[in-house]
Amino acid sequence: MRDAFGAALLRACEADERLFVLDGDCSHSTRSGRVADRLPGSFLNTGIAEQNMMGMAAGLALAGLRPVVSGFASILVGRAAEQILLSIGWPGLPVTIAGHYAGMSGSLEGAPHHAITDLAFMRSVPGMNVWVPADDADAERLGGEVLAGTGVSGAPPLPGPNYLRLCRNPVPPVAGGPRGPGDLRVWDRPAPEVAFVACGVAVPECVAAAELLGRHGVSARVLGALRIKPFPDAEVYDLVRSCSLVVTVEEHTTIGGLGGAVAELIAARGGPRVLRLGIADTFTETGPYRQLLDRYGIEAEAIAAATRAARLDPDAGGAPSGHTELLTVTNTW
Amino acid sequence: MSGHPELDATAARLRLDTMRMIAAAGAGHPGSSLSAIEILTVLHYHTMRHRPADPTWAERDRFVLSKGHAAPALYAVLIDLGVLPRELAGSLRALGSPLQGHPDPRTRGIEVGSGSLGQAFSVAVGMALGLGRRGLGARVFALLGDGECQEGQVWEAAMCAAQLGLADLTVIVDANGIQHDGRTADIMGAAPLAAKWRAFGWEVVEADGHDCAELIAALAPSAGPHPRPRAVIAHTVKGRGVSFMEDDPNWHSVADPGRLAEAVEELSHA
Repeated sequence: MRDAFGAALLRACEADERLFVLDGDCSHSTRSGRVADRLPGSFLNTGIAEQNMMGMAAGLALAGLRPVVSGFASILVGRAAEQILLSIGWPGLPVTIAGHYAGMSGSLEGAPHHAITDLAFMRSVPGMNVWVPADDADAERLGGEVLAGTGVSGAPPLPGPNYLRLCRNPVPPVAGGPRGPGDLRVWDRPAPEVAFVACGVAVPECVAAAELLGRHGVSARVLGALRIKPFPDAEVYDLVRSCSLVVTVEEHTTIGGLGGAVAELIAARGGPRVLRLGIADTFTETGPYRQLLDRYGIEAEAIAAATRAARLDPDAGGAPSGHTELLTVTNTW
Repeated sequence: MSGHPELDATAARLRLDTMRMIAAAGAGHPGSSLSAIEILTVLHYHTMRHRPADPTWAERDRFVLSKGHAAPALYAVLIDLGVLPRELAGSLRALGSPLQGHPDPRTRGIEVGSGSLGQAFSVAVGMALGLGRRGLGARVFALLGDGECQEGQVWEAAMCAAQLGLADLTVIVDANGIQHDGRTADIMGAAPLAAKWRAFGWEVVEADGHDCAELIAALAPSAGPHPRPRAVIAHTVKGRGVSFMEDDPNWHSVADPGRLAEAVEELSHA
């Protein structure tokens, strides 16, 4: 996905000299280095100092440029959270924040490089637009539209800063699912009993989970959300209200992200029970990416199993909570 | 007296206006506001190129109050210049007033919101870079506190500005030696401030922060052969102008309407 977005970034910078890319010394990894190579006047490596980088982006925007801040999602959004809130969010500046290696896609680097709280924070910043591409094509098209400031999918551009949540690895096209209103993709089924609402890499897993459930006679509709904020409340509600169970799946803590957005919506308007799947209230660990997704249940069979359990048991709460134990020996210091 | 009687008179007027605003609000940061009065005066009434009637003029020099708790002093300037209407003066910290407790980017004349120390300085660095790229020839001035220099972000920004050779960027450190809980030297000494900024690659000038002539010289455009950002270490007195407030750590932040009224009274007769 970083290559797809990197291509979009370079094209956008070639087309608009107001774009200016800041990267905190991750440009080889995030592929913003392509801009550094081709358009050195539109790029600055600000060194390993994310708080200053985020503040500088605000200053560049106030000087009339359209800055793009590129870096690892976990560190950008964690270390520079207050700068995002006050320097960029408060004045509502047109800054695009590209958070790479999001979710657990920085897999082998372990917990400090996994972004599992970024959606919760970014959703809570007043005026922040939050986008989660599901595949490379999304990253390139949607990323290009956000960077160009022309509006996504033909809609008018949204004012304010934008956060793009990007996975490290190439993601093949998610088959089917025509794009509908509200930047939603919908994989429909007749008379659905279950509605999945997913974002990012969880989208194809939910499509596969719906197939599995279909074999057990459970009809499930899948909604793939590209835009987490402003959340397409009306469109989502129309598609989930008649179901008896809504299951949210995301590569993020189950607190405050996509699951939070859906739970808030249903709490306000009434409707079906919500099961939130994703990373439970725990810190993640090192491992190959696919294995990590399996371990935390962001995988078709686990999603289908959790959904079936929740249908039978109204008390089933989704992913188990609690801290992951890594040590097999007792430390005595 | 600094040889600039008009500036001295302006500073005296702004000092009283500032204190009146804080007294009307019943709370604020009087000590931190009063130490910065001459710095704000020289910048806004002498050094900076700006058009008060057109506060968004593209080529204006920018002023960034990174030590946002001195907001009343900046509001006094903006009201005095006519950027903000004088009727607002009594509304500091009132609900719905543009004169927010700390500078708000939604208020006319405020370039950058501040109040979380260290943040606005980075914004000033980005501004200087961006304005330079656009060839607008505008200077950017950022006012920091010496206590603020304890923030790590300040040194991230300082390093970056020197690396970029941002000669149009000037930092003024309002070195009054006092922070919220006491004397800066006792809490987390920033000394030697000048040597620190010099070591970070900045041209450093020291000045008496209450002497307009010294400030004018310190804030003049650099004539050096190598483009470098400049740090002016302005030695100031916390609470300057109010006898019982001067250099007293108890006057960083206060909510004592009676004593604030006494301060207004003293300045009225200065």
